[in-house]
Amino acid sequence: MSFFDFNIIILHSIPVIRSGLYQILYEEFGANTFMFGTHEQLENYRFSENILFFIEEDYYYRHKHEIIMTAKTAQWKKVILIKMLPGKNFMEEYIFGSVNFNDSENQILTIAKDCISKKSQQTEAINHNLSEREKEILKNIACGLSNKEIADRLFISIHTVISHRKNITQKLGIKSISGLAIYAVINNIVEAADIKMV
Amino acid sequence: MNKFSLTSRLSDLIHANIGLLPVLNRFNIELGFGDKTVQEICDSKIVNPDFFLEIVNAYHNEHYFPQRSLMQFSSILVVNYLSKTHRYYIEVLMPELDVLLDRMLSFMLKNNMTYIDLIKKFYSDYKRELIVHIENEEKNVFPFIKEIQHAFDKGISYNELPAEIKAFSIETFEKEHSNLDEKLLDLKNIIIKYLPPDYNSSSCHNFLMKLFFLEKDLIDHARIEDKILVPKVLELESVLKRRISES
Repeated sequence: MSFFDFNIIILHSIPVIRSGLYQILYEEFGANTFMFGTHEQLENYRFSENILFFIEEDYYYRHKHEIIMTAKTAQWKKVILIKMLPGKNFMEEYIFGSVNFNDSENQILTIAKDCISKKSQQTEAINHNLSEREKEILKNIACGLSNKEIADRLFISIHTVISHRKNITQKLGIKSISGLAIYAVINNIVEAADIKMV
Repeated sequence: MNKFSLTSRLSDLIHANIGLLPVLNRFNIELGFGDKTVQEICDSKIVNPDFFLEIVNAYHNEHYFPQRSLMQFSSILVVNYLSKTHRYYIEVLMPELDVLLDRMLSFMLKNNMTYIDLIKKFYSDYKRELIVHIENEEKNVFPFIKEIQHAFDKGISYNELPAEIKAFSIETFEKEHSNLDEKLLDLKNIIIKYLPPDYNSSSCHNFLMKLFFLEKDLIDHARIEDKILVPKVLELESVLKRRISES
């Protein structure tokens, strides 16, 4: 998926600070942005698989475990701490950096964009064109052959067939055999007459 | 992040999200409600206003899902709502999709016949699977849930339940809708990414928009089943079973 889907969640106990921060981030990131006063409120929501948190520094250290648990369905999560006093961060797995409550809008947006673009570059690095070998495998899948039959026919292991299939599905965004068959016909990889629709 | 409340005007709900129209329909609420509020309409239609609000808010904001408060409603309310959405898929959405797909494909050039047929078949297979899935829930799962809720309300213990009810448990209910979701996603990708655009584009856009609409509704539907209905019935089952050991 080249489009990077994410939410920004602001957690701060002081309303003026969270609303102000929300305003700044909302203008840049729109409806992906949310704000809350406590982490309990997160339970009523279901967020994207990718979450960038802006959290009050003390609050994060006090409730780190609960916050991470509430966001347990998220595959990727990063935290930017909101500081009242400048100082060093304890660097750990989730912390990306920090902002100070008196930072400029630009400083705040820069760190948010840095964090998000790092992640989205990784996501976009997939090449979407099928290799010749993958086309060959796809042709056999479309004709209704099982993994074992494809492996025997092409003199490769079942394991290799499965890993090719995974890559094909990931590249094309099509999972079902009948869907893959349609792709193969549209792209002249196989004749419609050879297809066994499952 | 606005949430609708008892004092929201129903007309504002629709202005905010036109997708809520069929949801209102499932509560037998028709248009032409003037400036009536949620509370007023629910009172006149004998709809539980809190249940209505949670359903509408969860539908409107895909991030919002009040699992805890929804668990408090009777499973009969939830089942009736889900049944209404089933009827809506079968009687309204699927027939509309049929027409739109036919119209879209009829514009395609004759020499593309090969994959026109494949797409038709793909869609009709998907539709058949969806209907089978719905019928299974209507014939097997929902009556079971109603019995369990009924037994719970009447204070009946698990032993006194009919044998066919005891033979079934909500745990065996298929929690996965993944196969169906997959096919819908495949169909979207085939049309968006791969199908050569030698069709009338407005007919294609209409079909796609309707398909996205169906998908959103199905996600909402599955969320209510997996996160509300199943945990709720598990809880009822365990209460009924405890009654045996206590008696």
